[in-house]
Amino acid sequence: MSDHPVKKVVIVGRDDALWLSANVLWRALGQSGLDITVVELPSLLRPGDVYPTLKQQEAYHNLIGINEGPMMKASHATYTLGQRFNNWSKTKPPFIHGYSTYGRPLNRVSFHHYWVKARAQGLKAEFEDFSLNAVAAKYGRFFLPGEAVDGFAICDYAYHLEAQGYCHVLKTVALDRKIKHVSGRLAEVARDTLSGDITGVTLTDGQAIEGDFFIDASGAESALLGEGLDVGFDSWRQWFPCDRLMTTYAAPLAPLPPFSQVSAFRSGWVGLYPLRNCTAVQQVYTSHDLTDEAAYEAAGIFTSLKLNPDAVVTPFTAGTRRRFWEKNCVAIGEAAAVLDPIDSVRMHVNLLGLSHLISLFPIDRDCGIESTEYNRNVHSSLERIRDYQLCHYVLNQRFDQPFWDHCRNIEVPDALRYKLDLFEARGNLVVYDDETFEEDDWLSMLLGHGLIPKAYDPLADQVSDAEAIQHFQKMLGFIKAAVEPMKPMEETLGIVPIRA
Amino acid sequence: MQKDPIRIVILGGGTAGWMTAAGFIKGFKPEFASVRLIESDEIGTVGVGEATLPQLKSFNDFLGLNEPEFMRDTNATFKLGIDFRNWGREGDSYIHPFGIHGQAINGVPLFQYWLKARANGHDSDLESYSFPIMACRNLKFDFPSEDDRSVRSTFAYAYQFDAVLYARYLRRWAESKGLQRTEGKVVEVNLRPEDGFIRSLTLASGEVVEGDLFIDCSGFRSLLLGQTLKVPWEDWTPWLPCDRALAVPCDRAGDFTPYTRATAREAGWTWRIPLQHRTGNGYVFSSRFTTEDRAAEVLLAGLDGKAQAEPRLIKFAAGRRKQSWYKNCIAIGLASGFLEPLESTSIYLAQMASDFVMRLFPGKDIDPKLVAEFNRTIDIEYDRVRDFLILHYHANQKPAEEDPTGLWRYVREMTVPDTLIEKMETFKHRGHIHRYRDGLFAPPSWIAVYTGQNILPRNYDRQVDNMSTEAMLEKMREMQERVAVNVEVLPTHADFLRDYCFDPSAKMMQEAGNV
Repeated sequence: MSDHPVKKVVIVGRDDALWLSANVLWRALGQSGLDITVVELPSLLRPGDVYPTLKQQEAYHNLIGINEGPMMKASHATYTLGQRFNNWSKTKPPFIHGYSTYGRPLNRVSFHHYWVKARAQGLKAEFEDFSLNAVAAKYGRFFLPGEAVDGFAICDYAYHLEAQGYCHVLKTVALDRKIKHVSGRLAEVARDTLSGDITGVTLTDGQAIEGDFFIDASGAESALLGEGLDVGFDSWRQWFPCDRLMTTYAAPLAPLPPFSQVSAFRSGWVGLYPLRNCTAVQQVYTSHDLTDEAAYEAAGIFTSLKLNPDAVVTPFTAGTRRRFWEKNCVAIGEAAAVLDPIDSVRMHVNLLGLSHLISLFPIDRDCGIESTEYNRNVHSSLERIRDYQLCHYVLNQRFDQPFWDHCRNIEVPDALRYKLDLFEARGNLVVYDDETFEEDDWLSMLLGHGLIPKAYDPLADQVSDAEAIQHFQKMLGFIKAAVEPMKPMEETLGIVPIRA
Repeated sequence: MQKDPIRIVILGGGTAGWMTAAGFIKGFKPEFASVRLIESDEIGTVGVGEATLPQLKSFNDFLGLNEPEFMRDTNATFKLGIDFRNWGREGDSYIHPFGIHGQAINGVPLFQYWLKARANGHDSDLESYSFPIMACRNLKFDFPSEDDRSVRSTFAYAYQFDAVLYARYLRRWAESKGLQRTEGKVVEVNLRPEDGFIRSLTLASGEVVEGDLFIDCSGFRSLLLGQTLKVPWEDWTPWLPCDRALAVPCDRAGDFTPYTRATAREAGWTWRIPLQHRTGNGYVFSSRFTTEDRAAEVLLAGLDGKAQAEPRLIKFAAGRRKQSWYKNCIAIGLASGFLEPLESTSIYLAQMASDFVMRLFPGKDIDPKLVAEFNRTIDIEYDRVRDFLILHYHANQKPAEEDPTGLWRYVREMTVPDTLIEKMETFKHRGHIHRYRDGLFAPPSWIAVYTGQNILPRNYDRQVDNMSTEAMLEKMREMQERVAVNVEVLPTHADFLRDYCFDPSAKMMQEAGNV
């Protein structure tokens, strides 16, 4: 059926992208006769590094065959019901983006239209008060979604994973599966002079690993796709002005908040991600406004935490490679796209690439049809994620601070402009193909940042005020009753003995 | 809320007009919007017995219609798909179901396993894995199961009904809820000089009907959007050359099918839509490749019952208005565009348009953002249907002896849209189908048409190899058996329909041999 079938795949990289690729590929194709070799480059991880995830992560643990409980223990992991956004406005209170549906539609009209209408009439309840996840998070309570909420809301959760522990779990699983494994430092990427395909990689110790197909999981350096195949990088700096990520950690929080917190400050934002053994801290800022030394000082002040002084500052430029699949090489994770750390999409970018890769895994080394389709799908997905992330910056209400004033004036891509304009005019939310964030994710973020539509769907007026009020009360009552008996997250994690 | 109700004027009382009117009456309180429908008995409607898509049920549910009553009153039958005959080659037959070809194994469509089995010499009929197709082949029907693990949950259903009766049913329903219907012919459309919006319609009676929003359901004439506001037409006839239809009802005879049949003919294709009391038939053809007389001959020769009337001619052209919503006028149904009824999309497109209008309903001052969004979303619907229809024509292998008029060679050799070329290449390579969020025709529909018209991928999804061939064949056998066993116990379409909504006046039901 094929002239040059792909028989041997070599995954070159490190950390999350490497081990997720190895496991997903093994699970999807490991019994198909495909020879999988992992070339592990030195890890860049440090103690206290965190992988906050999106809600889609859980499904991949099921796919890969990872047992959640032990994995979480080994990764000092916590669950998260949402993200809390702090100080993005100088006048408005913080808001929570809960990973659940918000309210219930009435008479075929989305709930948020009724909320917009009711707010204009003096309703006090915030939009987040209609999210079970957000309310539980606000009260420091946790529940494993799916238990008692069926039929009322769709609730999900995500994780905060301690990076070294999590990668260790993924690596152990991969090695238990007898996936071939070599480690070392990359010396050279060899290419076929005629086709330009990658034929193999050589390590500094002289080991040469040949293959038909290569996965670049090397991280931002993009050792195969970028360095080896010269695929250029499109910077997103015009949209994402932050260029520094500082990571450090502090003592664990008690009780553990079932959410992460992202607080804006003068020159960027600082995120707190609770882990069992520490509190991971990520600060993202612009070096034009803040020196690295001043950044560390600032993080301590803004978080009111005693931070580990051994903080690491990583310069970055948000953006993507021009293509993610070139010739016989696919880049997964940061080797393909370095996204701004807001909204914790890094892990999802790994999975996005992998899910498209397994459904288009090449049959032959001549894989132009697959790469075209893959590049289009991934590109479009990344643009939709970009649009969502960008809103946080563009919609900020921190007036009279140069960085944030600049952000409010960023010229956003047309597709996002269109979406924001229609939403602002009428509350209708455009959902494009390939969106990672669903309608309620968008609504909670847009409304949370204070983009309140000037008008709402007139169909909301076809329901009497009395009926709408009753609908509101029912939802609030349900959420109150559901949240009250919930316990702090420690109970679910089994890390605090339950006393009689 | 505004003080005076928004005055909506719907021009035209065909299926599109009455569906829109009924939706508005259901959705809007009278103090919010007044709905008035103008139609003329002098102007006929196109409705000829119509096959629909499963989405219609959600519209009926929105109105709160009683399904058995609605079916009784419109002579409706159930529809699980379309049987395409003679499309790839003479003698071919495949069913495009409202459902899938077997359940996925390890997240990979069964179709991909079928490809591998076939490549390894284990050829089997792809249809035998599909519950809705096998129900069709055995003339059976029952409602889908709500248990999503069951093979009986793998489909949806639609209706085949008399569209004239459906419009009448909706009219009764809407009028009982307060809709104002005016009989009359429009003699003049009056525009506001300041902005070119429509101010009013003058009727033959002399009455002047003013409105804030005008819905053009005037059919092919497109009296408001096309003729008056001069919104240009985008011509799709190079790809879809059929431009005429002859329609004729006949006595019920032959199989009482829970599906519509679309049979390729020398210059187009004929439809066969079984209703409770008669069978609707028609021939969609290209006047470039045949004459009306010859078309009538072909149509009548193909009937399986006695013709009940002379064939009625309908002229059309494939294409659409560049904008369906322009100024304060929104065209719904044929006034906005026409795609031949090969995949029963006409009523669906009208339903979507009226649904989009409701979701984007403007105030008296129309925000152009709402107009842009309406046009964007309706364009997506039309574009996705267009490529799919073109595929039916383009993917044929008819040799000269099966193609006396040359139509089939023309459509096979014509240049098709780039978007379709790319879709076909990807499918031929490995059976991969791009999945969209919005719009009609998900991967199973494309699989049905490609494979049914003899376009088969050269390779299969490599994930299939993750299972041993023996284990795969065993799973496939199980699936086949599960489908067969579950179809076996279903009632026949005729029995089911009789129990559900039998109309004693439809005596043809009793006379039909299989009832």
